[in-house]
Amino acid sequence: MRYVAALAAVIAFCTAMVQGRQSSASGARAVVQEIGLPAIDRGLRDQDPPRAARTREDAERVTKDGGQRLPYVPGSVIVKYKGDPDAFDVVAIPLDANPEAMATAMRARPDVEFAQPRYRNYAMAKPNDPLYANQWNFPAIDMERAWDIQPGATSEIIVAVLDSGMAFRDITLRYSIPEPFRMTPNGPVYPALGTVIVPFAAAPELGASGSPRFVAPRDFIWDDDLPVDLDGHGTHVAGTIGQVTNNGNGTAGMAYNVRLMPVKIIAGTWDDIFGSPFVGTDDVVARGIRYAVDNGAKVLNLSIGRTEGGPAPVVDDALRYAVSRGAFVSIASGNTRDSGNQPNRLAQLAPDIKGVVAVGAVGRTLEVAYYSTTGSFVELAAPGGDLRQSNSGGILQQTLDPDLLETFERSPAQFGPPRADVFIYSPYQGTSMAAPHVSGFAALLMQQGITSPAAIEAAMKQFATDKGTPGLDNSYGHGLINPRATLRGLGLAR
Amino acid sequence: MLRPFALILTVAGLLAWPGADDAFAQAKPRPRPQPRQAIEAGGFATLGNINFTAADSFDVILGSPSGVIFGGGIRLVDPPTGFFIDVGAWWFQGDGERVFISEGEEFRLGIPVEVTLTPIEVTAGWRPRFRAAPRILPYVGGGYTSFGYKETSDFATDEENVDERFHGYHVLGGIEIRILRWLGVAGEATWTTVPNAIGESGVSAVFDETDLGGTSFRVRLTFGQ
Repeated sequence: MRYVAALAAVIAFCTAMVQGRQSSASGARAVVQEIGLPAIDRGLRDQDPPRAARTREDAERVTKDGGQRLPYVPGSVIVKYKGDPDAFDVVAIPLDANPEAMATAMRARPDVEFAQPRYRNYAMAKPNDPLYANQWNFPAIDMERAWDIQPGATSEIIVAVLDSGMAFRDITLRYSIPEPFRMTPNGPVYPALGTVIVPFAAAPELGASGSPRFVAPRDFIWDDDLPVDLDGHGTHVAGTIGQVTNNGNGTAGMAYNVRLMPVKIIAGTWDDIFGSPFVGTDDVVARGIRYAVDNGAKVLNLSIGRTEGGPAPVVDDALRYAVSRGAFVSIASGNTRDSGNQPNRLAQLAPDIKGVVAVGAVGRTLEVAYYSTTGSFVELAAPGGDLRQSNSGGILQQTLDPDLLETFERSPAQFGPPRADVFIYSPYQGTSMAAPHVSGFAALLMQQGITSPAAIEAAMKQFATDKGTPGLDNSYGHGLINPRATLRGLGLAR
Repeated sequence: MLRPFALILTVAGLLAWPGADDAFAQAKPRPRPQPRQAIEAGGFATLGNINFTAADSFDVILGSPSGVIFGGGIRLVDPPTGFFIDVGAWWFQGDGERVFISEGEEFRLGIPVEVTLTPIEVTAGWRPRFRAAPRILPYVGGGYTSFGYKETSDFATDEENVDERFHGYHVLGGIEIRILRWLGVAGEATWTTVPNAIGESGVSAVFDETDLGGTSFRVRLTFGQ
């Protein structure tokens, strides 16, 4: 058996040294207009009935192949060769081969540093409830006094939001849905819409389209420089980090003066429907991390991850590269506490890398959120919302209006093209919402003078407010972040 | 019988009277009790430099492990024995900024800090006189220090600032040179310890430095005595 596996690996090496662009389903998109209509801000959404939970299953439900649920993308694996100057390669393997077995066989080779399947990552957001109307999360961590010390950082700091994209630009794009599809294996068939025109707009509270607020946008799902958001997750996360503040509109963000780098590394449901050439596999995540750092990002937010599959050495490698280049990384710990508590494989990498932090979530009562994955890898806690603790327990930010975006939530007869130019203020919950608090916090610290990623992590831990079991614990790690105390640092005697 | 004898004495006395001074000078010296000298009091002013025991802490926050001090006080001396008591105070102020320290690396946070030291020293000591060098007066002493420590910083609440007094002790030694009967100049070294005043928080905890004292070298200008 071992020989068979090794033989398969050799065959794979010899026949398919395909680097990078591997996908089983490749769609296409094109720019229709370089401009779009101005964004529509529909304000606070507080009267809607609760929406169905968005889960990993939802993200995978666009099925054109009978609904097979795999934690990885078949047909290729990620390989790092010893001495190879490239960070890693994506090597094609037979479509019917088991990538985990292939990776195991490849790891046995003396010239291979690591090999792993192309595990797919997802947004870490939990369901949101639109009845919540205020940002309790910032007073809860004493941000008002923290902003006295460090008012929102400056444009010197670039924070990369590696996510589902970001509503950063007014533009109109053309996609296509050439074939009917099912949202679930046995669900109704949604019609092929053919060519679909989708309007996008910059979120009014993130910044104007084309403004210098947005730096070096990059889309690793569509392989271009238009990382527009077809999901809303990335826009919401970006808001917590850098929502425009003190402008008399909307909500506030942690580090409201930073520049934002939209880097799209996970695919939303629409990306899947449109047949994006890539999805959020580990190699895509790793590329995104390296890209962000190489283009000047000093803080990286990863409100993403996966709970299935094995380790992610390719991401580990990229994270170490990021830290070596002076970037701090915040990773959501995961949202599985109430459903098996499987750890986020990416967050599990954090404790071994100084400058990379795994973040759990607390609700409005500042107790660990019901969904926040616990484990020894959790290093810090931040507000992520908990709708079970409090009716107003979500994290409020501006994001895309799901009513007009997620038309796949409707019946097939009402299914139509999405609009990504209409915005609401919506409360989300999840460790996805906790991680950007830490990213924004890191930007403030960096602006204040703590420039080393490892030192930022050490400072956050040293001044964290201990919660739960005294000392380090699996729910809160070192405790709830305390930006004001951390920004103040140390005097001589106090 | 007595009158001739008295007269003789009177004449003899008149003959012998050249003046009062001569009469005293020619009088036979006789021991008389030394008059008790009063306690002498004087004042002093000091200028010096202190090297803090918590050198790393002061260095990181204020940019130097030492600093200039100014002071003054009074001295009471018992001349016969040479014992004295000093009551003095000195003052130090330094400006710096708050920091964060990680694995030996120092990150300055740009938040101003002001540290003010106001120790009050009560010293008992001995200052002997030597006939061979009456203008040179060595002295040694030791005593209690009430060590005032104030640390304030921007963005701090009253609770976060520090304004406390700590108990400490000191020993000193120096040499005074009398330039005039009422003016002298001295050089002295003082070692002060203020144990467990710091070290529970701040950078002093990072460096495990608990003593607020230090070794100071001072020039003392004395008046009176």
